[in-house]
Amino acid sequence: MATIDHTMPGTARPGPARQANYLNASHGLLSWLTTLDHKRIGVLYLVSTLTAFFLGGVFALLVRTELLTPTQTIMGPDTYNKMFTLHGAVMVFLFIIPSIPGAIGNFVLPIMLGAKDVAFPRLNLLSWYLYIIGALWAVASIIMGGVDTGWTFYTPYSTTTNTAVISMTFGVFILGFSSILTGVNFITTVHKLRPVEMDWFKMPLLLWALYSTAVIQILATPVLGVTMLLLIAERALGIGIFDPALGGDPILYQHFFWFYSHPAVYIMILPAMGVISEIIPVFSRKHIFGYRFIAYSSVAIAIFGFLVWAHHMFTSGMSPMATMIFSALTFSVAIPSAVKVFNWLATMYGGSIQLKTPMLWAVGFIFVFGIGGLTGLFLGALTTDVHLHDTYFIVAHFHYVMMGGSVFALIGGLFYWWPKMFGRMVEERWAQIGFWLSFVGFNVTFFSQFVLGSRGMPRRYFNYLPEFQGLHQLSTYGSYVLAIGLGLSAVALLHSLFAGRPAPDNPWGAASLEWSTSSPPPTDNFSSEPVAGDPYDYNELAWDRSVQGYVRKG
Amino acid sequence: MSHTADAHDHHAHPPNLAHHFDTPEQQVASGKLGMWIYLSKELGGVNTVVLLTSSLTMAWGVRAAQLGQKKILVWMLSLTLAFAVMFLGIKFVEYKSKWEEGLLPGKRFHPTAPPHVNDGKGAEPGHHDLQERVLPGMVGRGAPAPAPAAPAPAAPVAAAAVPAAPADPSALPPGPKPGDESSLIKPAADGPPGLAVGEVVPLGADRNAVPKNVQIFFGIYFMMTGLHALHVLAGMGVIAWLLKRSLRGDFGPSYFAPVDLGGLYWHLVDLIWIFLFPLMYLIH
Repeated sequence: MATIDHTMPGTARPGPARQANYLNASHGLLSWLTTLDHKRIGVLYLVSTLTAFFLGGVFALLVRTELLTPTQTIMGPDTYNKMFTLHGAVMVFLFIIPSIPGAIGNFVLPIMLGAKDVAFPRLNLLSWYLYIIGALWAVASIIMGGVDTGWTFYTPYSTTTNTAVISMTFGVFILGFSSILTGVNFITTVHKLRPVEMDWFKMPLLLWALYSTAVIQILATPVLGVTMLLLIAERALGIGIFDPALGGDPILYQHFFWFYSHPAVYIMILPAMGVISEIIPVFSRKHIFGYRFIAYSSVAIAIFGFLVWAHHMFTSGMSPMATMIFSALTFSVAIPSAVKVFNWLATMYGGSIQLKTPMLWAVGFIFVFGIGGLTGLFLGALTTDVHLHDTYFIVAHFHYVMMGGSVFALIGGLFYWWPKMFGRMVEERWAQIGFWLSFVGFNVTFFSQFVLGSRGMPRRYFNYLPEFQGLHQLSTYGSYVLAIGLGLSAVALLHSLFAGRPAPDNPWGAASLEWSTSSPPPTDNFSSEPVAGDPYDYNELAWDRSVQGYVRKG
Repeated sequence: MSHTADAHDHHAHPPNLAHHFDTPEQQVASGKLGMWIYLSKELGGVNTVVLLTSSLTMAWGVRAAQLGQKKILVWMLSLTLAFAVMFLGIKFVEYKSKWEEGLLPGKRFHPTAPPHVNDGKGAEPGHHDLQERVLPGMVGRGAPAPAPAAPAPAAPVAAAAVPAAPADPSALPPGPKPGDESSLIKPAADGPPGLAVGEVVPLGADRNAVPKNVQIFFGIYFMMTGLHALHVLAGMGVIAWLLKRSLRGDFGPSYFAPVDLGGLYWHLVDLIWIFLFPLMYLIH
C-alpha cells in the first residue's frame, strides 16, 4: 500500500498539472477500499499483484539457493517441496494471471476507449475483493504449513498428501471467479462503451489482446473451478473422480487441469503481447505494421489455446493418434505467435527507435519470447518431448515464456504507463541499469537450465548429481543478478513518486486516447469528450519543449 | 459365494418364483427395488416439470414487470419461489432414499437393500452379500446411467434383456465356470435363454467391475445435481430479493432490469437441469 499513500495527497507538487485527478479526488484508506474508479482498482491490483510477485520471488530465491550444492544447503527436502510449490502457485495464480489484465488492463482499457469507466464498476471492485479473499486462502495454506504438490496439484499425490491442499485449491477456486468477473467486465466494456467512431479495427491492439484474454478467462476458468472443487470433494468427502480405488482416473485430473491451464498460459501471454504492440510503434515513431494480422492472431491464439492442452501429457498415457494430433495442433500455435513477432520487427524496421526504458523491456521481450517460443517446438515434437519431459528444459522454456514474456511486458508496460498512472517521470538511468541487470540475470538463470535439462537434470529434484553443480550454481548466481535488477527497477519507480519530474500529458508521443488526457487523469478520465482517431498515427504529434512532452500539431 | 449358492438350484421352485431367483423374498425385494428406482426416475421427471413451470412463471413475471403489473409480478415471483422449494423438496426425497440405500459417492458408497425391502431378511442364508445382489439389479433396472458407462460386458446385456428382475449370482447354475473367457462372451450371442447365465458369470469372475462404475455414477450424480441444487438456492436468494423489491413497487416499464437479469439466471438454472435430467435419469 506504500505506493498509494505516497501518491495520494497532492502535497507540495510543483508544476501546472496538479489539478484534481483520480489520486487526490478523495483521501484515506477507506476511499481506496470502497472505490469504484477503474483507475484506483487498477492501482489496487498493481499493489497486490506486485506484493505477490515479491513473495513468489522470495520463494524462488530460496529454491535457487538450496540448489547451490548437490545435497542439502539451507533447507530440508520437505521444505524444498513446499518452496517450489508455493513459488509456482503464487506466481501463476496470484501474480501473472491477474497482473496485466487486473492492473494495466483496468487502468488503461476504459481510457483507451474514451469511456468514463468499465461497464460494471461494482463488479470490478468485487473481483478485486475476490482476488484478496483467494489470496488470503493461499496465505492461510502457507501458514498451515504449505503445500508440496507442485503448482499443478496432480492427483493422486494431491489427494493423499497431508499438506494444506484444500485451503490452497479453494483459494485458486475463488481467484478463478475474480478472473471470470474481470473477463465479463472487459468484454461488455469493449462491446458497449466503445465510441461510435472507433470500429473494431481502430481499437488499440492492447484491447484486442485483453478482449481475447477475457474470452479465455470466461470459457476456461470455470473448468479449473470445477476441477479444484472435485479435488476438494475427493479429499474431503472421498468422492471417487480421480482415485482409481474408488473407480476414478488420475489422468482425468490432468486433462481437466490442463484444459484450463493451457488456455491460462495464453491468459498470461496475450495481454503481454498487447502491451508490446502498444510500446513498439510508439518508440519506433512508426505506424504499427500489419494491424489486422496482429489483431486476428490474438483471436487465433485464443482459439488454438483450447485445442492443445494434452501436449502437457505426452508421457502420461494417451493413444499414439491423440499424441500426434495434439502435437500437430501445438505446432500450429507457433503461426499466430510468429505473425506477431514478425509484425513487431517489421514495425521497428526503418523506424527511428528510441531506447527508452519501456522500449528496452519490449525489445527484451521479443528476444526472450523468441527463445521461449522456439524451445516450445522442441517440446511439442513427440520424440524430443519424451526425452525432455519433466526436465529443467521445461522449467527453462516456461520461464522464458512466462517470466521473460509476461513479466518483461508487465514491467515494460509499467514504465510506459507509469507517468499516466502517477503523473511522474521515472529517472531513465537507474531504470535502464535495472533493465540490463534483469535481462542478463534472467538469461544466465534460465539459459543454463536449458543446458541442464537437455543433459537430463529432472525438475523439482532436491538432490542432483555432482556433474550438474556448475550449471546449477550459474543459474543461482543469475537469479541473484535478476533479483538485483528487478529491485533497482522497483527503486526507480518508487523514487519517481517522490522526486520524479511531473509528467506531461503525452511524454512518449503516443496516439491512443489515454495520452490525450492529463497525467494523472481526472476521475471521469477526460475533461472534454475525446475524439478517437488512428491509435498508431504519430504524424499529428510534435515535441513541445515548454511542456516537455508531445502535443497535437496546429 | 457362488459355491454356497449352487445348492439353491436343486430345490423345487414355487410356481410364481422366476427360475433365476432363489426365494420369493428375494424376488419381492428385487421387484420393489426396481420399482423404487423407476420411481426415483419419475421424481426426476416430476422435477423437470416443476422447474420448467417455474421458468414459465419467471418469464411471466418479467413481462409483468415490464408492463408495470405489480400484483401479477408479486404473484409470479412467489410462484417461482414456491416451485423452487418444491424442486428442492423432491430432490431431498431422492437424496434421502439414496442415502438410505447407501448409494453415496466415493468411499461412502456402501449399497444395501432399501430398509423396506430388507426387513427381517438379514438372517437368511446365502443373502449376506447384499452388495452383489443389488448392484446388478441397479444396472439391470437401468434407471440411472451406469449401464452405458459400464465397460463390464455384463451390464448392458442385463439392461437390455432381463428387464424383469435383478440377477443374482447365486442363481448361477453349476454349468459355466467362472474365469472361462469363452463362456463369458457366448451366452450374449445366444439370446435370452443364455443371458441369465452370461450376465452373471463375469460378476463372479470380476466382482469389482460393476460396483466401480455404479460408484462413479453416484459420485458424478451427487456432484452434478448437488452443484445444480446450490445454483437453485442462489437463484432462490435472488428471487426473494426481487420479491421484496417488487412488493416495494420498485419495478415498472422504465426500470425492470433486475427482474430481467434474475429471470435470465433462473432460466439458466432450468436449462442446466434440462441437460442433467436426460444425462442422469433417462440414458440407458
